[in-house]
Amino acid sequence: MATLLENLNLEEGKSDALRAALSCIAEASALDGGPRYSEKVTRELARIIVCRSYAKPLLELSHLMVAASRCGGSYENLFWGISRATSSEFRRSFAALHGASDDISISEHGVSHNGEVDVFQISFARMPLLAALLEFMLTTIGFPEIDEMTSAVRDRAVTHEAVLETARAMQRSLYAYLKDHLPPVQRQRRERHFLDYVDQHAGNRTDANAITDDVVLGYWLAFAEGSDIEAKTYRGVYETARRLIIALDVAEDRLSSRHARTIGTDFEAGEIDPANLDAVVSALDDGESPLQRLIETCGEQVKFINVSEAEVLSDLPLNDGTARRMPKSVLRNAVFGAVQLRLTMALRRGDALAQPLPSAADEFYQARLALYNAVISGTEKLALAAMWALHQAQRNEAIELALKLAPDINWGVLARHDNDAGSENVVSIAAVGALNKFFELEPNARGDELSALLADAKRAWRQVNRAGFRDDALEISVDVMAEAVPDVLRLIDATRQLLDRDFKPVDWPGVEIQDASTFAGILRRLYALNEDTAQHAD
Amino acid sequence: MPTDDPIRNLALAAIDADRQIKTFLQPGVKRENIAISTLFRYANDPGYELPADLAQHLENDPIAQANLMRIISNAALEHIPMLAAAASDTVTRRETDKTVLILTPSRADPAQIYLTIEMKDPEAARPSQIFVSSAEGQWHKLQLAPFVGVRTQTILESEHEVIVALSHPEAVVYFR
Repeated sequence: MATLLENLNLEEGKSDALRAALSCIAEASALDGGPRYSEKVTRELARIIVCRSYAKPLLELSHLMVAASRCGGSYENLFWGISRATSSEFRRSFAALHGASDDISISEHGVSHNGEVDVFQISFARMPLLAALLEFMLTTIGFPEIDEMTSAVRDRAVTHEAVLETARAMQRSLYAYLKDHLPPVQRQRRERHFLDYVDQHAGNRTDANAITDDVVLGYWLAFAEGSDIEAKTYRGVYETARRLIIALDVAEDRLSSRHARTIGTDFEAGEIDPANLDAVVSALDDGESPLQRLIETCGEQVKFINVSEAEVLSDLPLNDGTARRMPKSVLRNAVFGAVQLRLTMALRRGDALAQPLPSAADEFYQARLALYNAVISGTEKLALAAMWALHQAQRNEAIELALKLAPDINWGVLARHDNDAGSENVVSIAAVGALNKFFELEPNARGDELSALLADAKRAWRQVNRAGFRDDALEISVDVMAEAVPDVLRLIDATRQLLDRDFKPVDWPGVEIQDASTFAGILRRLYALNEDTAQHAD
Repeated sequence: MPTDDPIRNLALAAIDADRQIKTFLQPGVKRENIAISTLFRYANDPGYELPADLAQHLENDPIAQANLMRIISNAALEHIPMLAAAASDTVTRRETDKTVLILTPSRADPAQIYLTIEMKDPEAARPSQIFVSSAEGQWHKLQLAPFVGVRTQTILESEHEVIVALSHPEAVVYFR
């Protein structure tokens, strides 16, 4: 045991410097005191370090340093001339340098380094991560070292081969650093124990399909009261199952023939391709769910979703195949996972446990489904209101919203008859003309379908009273609103898919009767509760 | 699922890695570095001073000192290296091909010192800040008064950290 502890301490000591370097970047502040890098960027950075999937990002970074130096004279000015590392800040900075170099071209989407044969492109969306990676490299390897390593490609026009060599030099430095500072990962016992149980109970099913509602509930009932493994809470078991479903699904996809295999990885010997590992870890990141993305995009500025609504929707696995595999487990977690959490917290505080356990008469699952439906209907109404604001601001995102909120609408009103087409039956929609016509439309409840939709949107706008949805603040909020449209649409799509596809086939009244009894039994045993209420039996 | 299944191995490796990432990103890690962006801000924003804890950290962290020196020197207009070791007395004048830096006690109040900088080339870019690195690893910066012709003059208390640092031969000076 002593040796084990010693090893553990050594491993922890080994990683202290790496943790400190990552923490330093996570805590770096912008001029206004807010974070310089978003949480998403910090998580992505940690992921490419831990998964060692830094080869491609370092190549992108090398090209970006070339582009920054060629356009601005100094890469430092570009990277640290901006306070907050966001794609829009990088877009603005490069726009100010437009045309500054022959071999660098700047477009709406990013920057291209034009070589003799091919073109290397870096999108603005990648630049915040690359900036964080550069800061990590300077912090761990050292500024003078990286400055010298990259000087040859920054000072003059160079070939892509030369940039690749520079990227490889940085890779070698980082590899050497991580050899000393990144300890081997610890094998997580909980997931392996769960998978062993799945193997014993899944019949002839394989992969993520073997993880079902029955398996999850069966595992919890089998191990919640034991001490073999930490499985006391239903929520913990559910989360283990959910993470395994995500990981197995993405792993299967990555290892299918659709994805190119990295040369040099010995799969037979159990070696894992860093790009595959990165992809699966990325899928496990809850920050990538539509709900989290929307919260991160809008923050406090445009309240497409408020705190209590976000709390309700946070039960739902919106970004993966969990609800398709185990729909009952999702609602069991939402209802009984929460009940168990309240019980645990009350016991910790020494409070009385007065709240009775849910009974079938409460129709707890159906009530929960109605709540999800109410929340997402509210979000749809806010999206409709946003459509009015974006239409007024002549933003194209208004059309994206219209297409989603009224998919069957007749858009013919935007068409123009093309006299040169030679036939009266041919109607063409010229994109620009149609766009202009759309923005010229007036709301009219009794007009064509589009005008009526606009009238609905205007009415919705007037009925909403939330941050970002007010006439007096629209000038400030319209950019954030427009940026959030893809995330709002993803959230609506994902939630509707769960409600209309995954949850609909389940006989919820029947499940409520069974679960009320099953959960009451085990919770009473786990927490020594009496029969009628959640009061302690003693 | 067989236990040596590559899909399972990849999935479990990802779960292990994800747990390690979460451990790495847990808050409350002891500060061991100064963010490069903070050093850049210190070098480029005349109104920004390092918070006391970071300034103290900088004194004891040779990597951070090397990083800051590189940041400052990369964009420096001029650099005056440390003087010869024999120059043990208080230094009042430093000179290169391009600039002269002079410390002169005020006649009216000996407790005050004039810091004068002259550019020898009338066409040379005028610095707006000087950075002084002391032998002890401390960094000091000062925003300069606007140049009049080739000359700028700033009056400081004789105990001012920049004056004290400049008085020692080991100090290294950068103009930005």
